[in-house]
Amino acid sequence: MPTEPPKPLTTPAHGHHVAAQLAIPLTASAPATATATAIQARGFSSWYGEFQALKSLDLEIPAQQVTAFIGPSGCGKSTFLRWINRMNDPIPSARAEGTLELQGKDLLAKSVDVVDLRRRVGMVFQKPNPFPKSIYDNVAFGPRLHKHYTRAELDELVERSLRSASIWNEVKDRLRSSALGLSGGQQQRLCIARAIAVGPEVLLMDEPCSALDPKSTLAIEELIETLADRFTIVIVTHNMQQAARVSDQTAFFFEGRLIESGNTESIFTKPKIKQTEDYVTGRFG
Amino acid sequence: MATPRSTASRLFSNRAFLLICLMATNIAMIVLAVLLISIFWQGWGTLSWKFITSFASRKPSEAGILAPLMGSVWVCAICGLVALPLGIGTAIFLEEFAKRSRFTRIIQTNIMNLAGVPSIVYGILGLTAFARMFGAFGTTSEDAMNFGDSESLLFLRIPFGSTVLAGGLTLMLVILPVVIISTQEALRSVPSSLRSGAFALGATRWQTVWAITLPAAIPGIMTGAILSMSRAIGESAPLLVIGGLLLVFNTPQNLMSDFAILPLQIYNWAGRPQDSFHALAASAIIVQLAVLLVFNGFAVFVRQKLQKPLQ
Amino acid sequence: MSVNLQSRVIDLRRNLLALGAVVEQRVMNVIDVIRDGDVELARIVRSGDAEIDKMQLDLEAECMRLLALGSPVAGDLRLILTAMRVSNELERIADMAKGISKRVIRLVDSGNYRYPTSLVQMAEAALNMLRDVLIAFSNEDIRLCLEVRRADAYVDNLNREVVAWAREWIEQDVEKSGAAIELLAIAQRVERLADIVTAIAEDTVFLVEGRLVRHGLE
Repeated sequence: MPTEPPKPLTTPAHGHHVAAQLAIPLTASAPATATATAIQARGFSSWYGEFQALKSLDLEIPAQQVTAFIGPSGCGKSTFLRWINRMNDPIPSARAEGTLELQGKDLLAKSVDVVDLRRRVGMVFQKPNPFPKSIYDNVAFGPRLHKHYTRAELDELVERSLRSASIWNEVKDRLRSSALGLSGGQQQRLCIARAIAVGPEVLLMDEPCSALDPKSTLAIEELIETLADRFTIVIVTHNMQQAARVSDQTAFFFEGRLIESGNTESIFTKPKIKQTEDYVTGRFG
Repeated sequence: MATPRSTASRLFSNRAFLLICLMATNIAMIVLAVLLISIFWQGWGTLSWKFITSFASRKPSEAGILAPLMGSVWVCAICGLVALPLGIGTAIFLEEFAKRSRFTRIIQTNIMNLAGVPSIVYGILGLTAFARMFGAFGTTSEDAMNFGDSESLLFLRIPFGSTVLAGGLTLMLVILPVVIISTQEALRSVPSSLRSGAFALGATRWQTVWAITLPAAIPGIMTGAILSMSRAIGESAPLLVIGGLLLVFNTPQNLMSDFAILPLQIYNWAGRPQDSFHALAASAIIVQLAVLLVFNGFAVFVRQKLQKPLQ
Repeated sequence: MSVNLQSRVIDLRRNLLALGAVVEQRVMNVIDVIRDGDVELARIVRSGDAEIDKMQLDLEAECMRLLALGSPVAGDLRLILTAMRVSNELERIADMAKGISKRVIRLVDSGNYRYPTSLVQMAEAALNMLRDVLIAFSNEDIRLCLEVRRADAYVDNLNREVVAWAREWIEQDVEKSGAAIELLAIAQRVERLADIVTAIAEDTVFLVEGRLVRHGLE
């Protein structure tokens, strides 16, 4: 595919810039600046007790882009995701070796402030899990944990977060009503608003649409596209078409190993490794 | 070769089971109804304001239950005020904070065993530990240490002796295991997805428990509290051991007062030969049921309030 | 992609090769038509074009269906896209064959049928290119594709010889200029036929490697 707009065939002296302006780029241009790496894994392995869930992963997740993790069930993609915000800590048998870094800082060190880490790395779960509180209190919960806010500041933060999650117009008249009264798709968007409210750099999404109907799924995919400018997003998904639609980079996992990772476009038009090709074309998994 | 099961026989089994369940329910209801009706029949006549506000007497027409009534209220209040925070706190610690280890498993097993121990055993324990304090402070009331004026509200004597404080603490021992277990169950019933959601936002364990888990578990915890207090109101054996004196002519004035309790008074009156005392016993039972209702009603009210109904 | 759809993709590939075989047969026939002025054979080629058109339309419809229903990606996607293009190109080759046959019939009927050997050589070269490209497609042989592309230059050279021969014929016998122009039209179609085969070779490179080599790109 051409990555630059086609050059005009003739270049009349006076009309040169006009013709160039008329050309419309056919493909999304790659970001002009070199992309920074948000998350890096080197030789990263993890175990649950005796069982090795992840085998020596080497992966770079670029900042401010959407990276999709795909692979059959049990391949370790969710496990890896949960290491990024140390959500595996409560599991006593979970341990890890190797390097896992966020913005260059080691995530596995004992000295890591896990509470602050989870403020910087937000998570949205497979099944929407709003708290049994009001919509307002759901969104305000996270920020209130970390700082003291005045009423006005909190109101503004809640509104901003709900707007960012494309749900403000649907709930602005019933902020005090229970979050449990929302539909599944709305609840998931509320959970996204809740995660955004604490101002993270990274958003981790573990199959966020798998419990939703197609219309809600589409709404959330559109939301992800708008959020990708501000956050680094990592999304685990079983749905290959979703990965193709939504992500810039894709990483294919299988049985705890990273088989291939790269540009989503090349993974879905010409993968380098046969196993990847077999998986994305549905020949297994 | 699989043979088909006849639809008729399956439907019959279905109906038969339904019938058995209905019968069981009805039997329970009937028994309850018979009990209540007989009590009200016997006791309604002697129930009066004078009855509730008088003290005991040898003459049935003048006897009242003021002392046992207030004694029960004081003892149960002390029991509740100590057992509920202690039990709920222990349950929160065991369920939310303690790391699962062999030690915690042993504690868990022990708590469950304690729930089944006959309450008389707690009575003996309470007598030794609270009333007599292992004899460490002397064995007679002269040797006791007094703090404050014995007539006023703030008065403390060590050892506690046969007082409402000792009685309340002994009752606390009885219901503590039940409170712990039911609170643990209530905490377990809170879906872990809520906790995950809170952790993922950067909440500490304490913040999660206080803001998310506890509020969600309140209904279960309050139910456990209601059940425990209902049991406490009706316990007689341990307080008998402590010394729930029957001939008390004043209501408790401070923690160190002597006490009588309703169950024991009922027992006492029911055991006398005269029918008139039986009627008094029935009236006392009605009063006890009323107290129970008030306690439970209050707890249900608290539960409703704490659940924070959202429109 | 489900197993059912996967087997349909396999069938698609087979049908495409079958279409290629039929078109190859036509081109073989056309060589005989040119060499022998065989009007009977030419008529058969002309009327057989309808069958090829139908095969191509069926193939294209199947490609549409698979795209809509199967959400194909990677190799499957490239195969379906290539099948659409190549079936189209094969149909145009058959069209060229039909056009050649019509003109031979006209020339033979008017009694003015003459041709240079270079014309037959052109046609044979184009046939070899077609054969090779079908083998290359079947075996996913990139090297062979690139050879086919280079062979196009040979056909172009032969075309220039035919043009020179025709000019001479007109100079010798101005009355026959109409026939000479018809002959040039035949040569032009053979040349275009070879060009289309080149396009098929480029499509095959896309199928195998996922990159485009059109318009002179290597």
